[in-house]
Amino acid sequence: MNTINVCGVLVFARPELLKAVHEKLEEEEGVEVHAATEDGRLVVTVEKEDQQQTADMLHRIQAMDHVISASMVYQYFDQVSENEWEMAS
Amino acid sequence: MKLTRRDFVKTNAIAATAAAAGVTIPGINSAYAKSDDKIRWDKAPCRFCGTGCSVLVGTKEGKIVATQGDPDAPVNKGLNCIKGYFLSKIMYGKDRLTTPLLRMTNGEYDKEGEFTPVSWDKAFDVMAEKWKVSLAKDMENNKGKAANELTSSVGMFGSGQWTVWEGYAASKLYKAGFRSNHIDPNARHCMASAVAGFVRTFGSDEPMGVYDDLEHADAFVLWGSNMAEMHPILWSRLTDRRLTGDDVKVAVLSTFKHRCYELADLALTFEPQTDLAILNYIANYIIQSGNVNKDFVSKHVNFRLGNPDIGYGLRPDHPLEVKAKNNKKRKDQIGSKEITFEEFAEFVSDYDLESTAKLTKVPAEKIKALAELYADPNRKVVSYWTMGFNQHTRGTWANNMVYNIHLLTGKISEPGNGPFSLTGQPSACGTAREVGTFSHRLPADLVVAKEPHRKFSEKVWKLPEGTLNGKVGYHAVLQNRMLKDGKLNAYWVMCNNNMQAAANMNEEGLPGYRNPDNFIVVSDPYPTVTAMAADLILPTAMWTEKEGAYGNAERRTQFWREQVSAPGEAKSDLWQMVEFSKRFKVEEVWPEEILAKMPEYRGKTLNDILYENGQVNQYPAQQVTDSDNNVYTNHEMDDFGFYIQKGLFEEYRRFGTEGPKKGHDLGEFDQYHKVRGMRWPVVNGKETLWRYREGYDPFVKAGAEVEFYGKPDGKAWAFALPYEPPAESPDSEYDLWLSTGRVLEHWHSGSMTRRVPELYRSFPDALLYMHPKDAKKRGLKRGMTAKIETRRGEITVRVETRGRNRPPEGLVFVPWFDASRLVNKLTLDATCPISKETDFKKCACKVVRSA
Repeated sequence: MNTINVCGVLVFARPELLKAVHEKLEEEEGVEVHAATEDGRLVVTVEKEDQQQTADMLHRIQAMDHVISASMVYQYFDQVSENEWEMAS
Repeated sequence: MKLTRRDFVKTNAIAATAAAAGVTIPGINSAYAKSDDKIRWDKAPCRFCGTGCSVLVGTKEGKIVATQGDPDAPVNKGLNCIKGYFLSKIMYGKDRLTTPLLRMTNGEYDKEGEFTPVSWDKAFDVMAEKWKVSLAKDMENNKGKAANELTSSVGMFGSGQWTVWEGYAASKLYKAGFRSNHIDPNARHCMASAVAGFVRTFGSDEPMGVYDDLEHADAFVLWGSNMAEMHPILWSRLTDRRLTGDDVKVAVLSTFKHRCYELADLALTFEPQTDLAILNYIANYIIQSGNVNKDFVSKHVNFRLGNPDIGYGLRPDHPLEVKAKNNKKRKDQIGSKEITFEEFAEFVSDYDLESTAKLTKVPAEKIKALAELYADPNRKVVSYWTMGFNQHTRGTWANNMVYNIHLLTGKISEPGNGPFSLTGQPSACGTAREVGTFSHRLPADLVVAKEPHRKFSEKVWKLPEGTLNGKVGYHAVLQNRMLKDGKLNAYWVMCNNNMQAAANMNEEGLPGYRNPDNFIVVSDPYPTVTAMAADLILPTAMWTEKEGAYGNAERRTQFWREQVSAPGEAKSDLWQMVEFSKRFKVEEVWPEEILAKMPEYRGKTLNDILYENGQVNQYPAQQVTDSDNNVYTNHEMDDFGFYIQKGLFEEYRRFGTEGPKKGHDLGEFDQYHKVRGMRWPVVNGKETLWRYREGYDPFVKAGAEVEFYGKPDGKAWAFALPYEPPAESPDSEYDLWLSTGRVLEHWHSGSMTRRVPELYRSFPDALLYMHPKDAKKRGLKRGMTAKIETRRGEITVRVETRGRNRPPEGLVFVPWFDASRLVNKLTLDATCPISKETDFKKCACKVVRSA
């Protein structure tokens, strides 16, 4: 069984410290920043093995210096037998 | 190109987040996964706070397996906070109650006995017997008494988490059935001061504005609201506006530094209680700087001088109550007299910059900068507040005084301008306030003390004239005192955890529940602190285990369908009340002179009179479906044989459409099931955004521009009110301020969130937040265990000198979610004398090393 556990997170950071927050986020395991805007918005995903790790990471993000707010947007948790579930894009 | 399922899911996550952020990412399309996993998705408002986010509830094989922020919801636009993220788990705690539990010894009820599983029949038998003893005693005591002199020894403590129809059914059961006004919601603890403030200033409860103001304001002022943790989704919207708008400012006022300070352009940490002085200084500044909106004030505002020295809502023999001047009678506490604008200006002129800075300990330039934000005629300002204002011995005044500022500048009832009280519970507005489950209220802003309001209610409820009790009942704090004093004997607590939530548990709450004269029933899904202090525990179906409706802080009423069945024998609050009402013949609760006016009611049960009254039971059982033709269960409809939720709601909304207080109209039942809520007043199927403003509010007279129609002449009242000291301040022995509150991860008493393993682990125990210097002075360091003590009790808590809350020297903060560290053993049950809401934010404590 393979676990798919993905959460989309909208993060707001202080614009003047955006770069620092961006770098800090990228250092975290399973965290990716997909877009960042000059005014402080970051499109982030968190991928973890289980829900507890996800919760802990969300908690860490929320508590990071210069992070003003972090909201969950999308979450998906499932255990699938076939990782190569295919689809045409 | 081939995509793995993982890639596909991730792409969806990115697309949804980008959409919520308003960002376009090349190559990422917003193509939500059409689930292939047999999950049924349906909307429901979140179970937690008063924001009223809509979530999509995913159900698979009779179990809720996931929740998502609802992308179609105007409130949260697809966003979800960490509590909402784990919402699906709140129903599945290991210690869920599934059968009634009665304290018994040798097979018989015994107040000192052990909790023993019993049937619903047995539970209701014992309970009804206790109620009947009390009701017989009440009938005897009330012989020959007028409607406004009736007393009662049966009571109920209800909830801002009740569904709309549960609150309505409870109000009918007590006020109409048992003729007792001793029913009050836990909302008394969280927004009674907001209610009293709205009614006193505008003659009508609830905010004039809506969340849309978040996208229109140029400045936000947070008065005693830690929105970043308590209302994270609204905070996210506010943050978005602050970062993307042009020259948008955020001011935060608090007695300690918290997460909101991260965004604040202006942060004011003030001495507890002195917010009153800041409010008056701002009014003074607006007047002195020539920024009064004279046209608005002359057309829409009256000025009043409020009575000072109104006491602290403590027991009458407390020295502070003996000393106070205007606290002995209700009319003195709320009393005021008409004054001119000039007299108002003279009154607030005492609050100059120098004296205000000295009293508040806030640098003068910061206070002035805050006043400038409000005074600037080109800046739109929204004020937000929560418990900092409301849980305050002058909470009603604080609410009145922030309205003064918005009235003087005319910054009210229009996009981006207005005062807005945020609420803590999901239906504090929809159920507690709108249905009127308070000891003094009836639905749609009516009150028990007014005979025309009782008469109207009796007409809707098909009751004999004179049935309703005109004497205001015991409010929350008084209920605990009357339990202790043995005057309230049969007591039902539903949908809340008041033993943990109410102040001064050691001196009032616990002695009241365990008083041998009393029989205490607690309905709850879990064995809470309150349930464990009861004599009978009833297992409750929660949230989407029943069909429901909540009303959020912006007047938005939202419905949901039953998604899953409750475990074991657990039943909804509505089912419990209706079944209990079947145990009473009307002759056992009403005297002959009332019954003689409607002899057709002889021999009937309270269920026949209150629920199967030809109105509530007029909608036959039907299949409940959504727009995709999914079919949903409705256990109450199955058991009672009619669509009771619809019947209750349709009867209830007549109070809005036909009642004496205008502007409270709700829409039709069926419509709410199709939409993401509607904000009342709803007229011809259309919601209202800004109340009291022509062009938005259909109740404003043509040409009036603004009309505060809750008042007879359409003018709001600005109140001249002074700064007065708190009930208890630090002294040489108890040398620190103690403030209490919440944290992001836990909602209220933690009865649900502490049962979600991920949330529990994130924040397992309450902490004592204190300044490092205060810790050092007491030989304490971060992580050590300290004893915190007040005149009423003591608890031990671990010290935190860093982290999210940073108190100034002289103040400590402890959250109240933790059932193992009950901070309400420490707090004082002082209240705002007008609203009767407890001040949980201020008392004196000392902290020492724990041995």
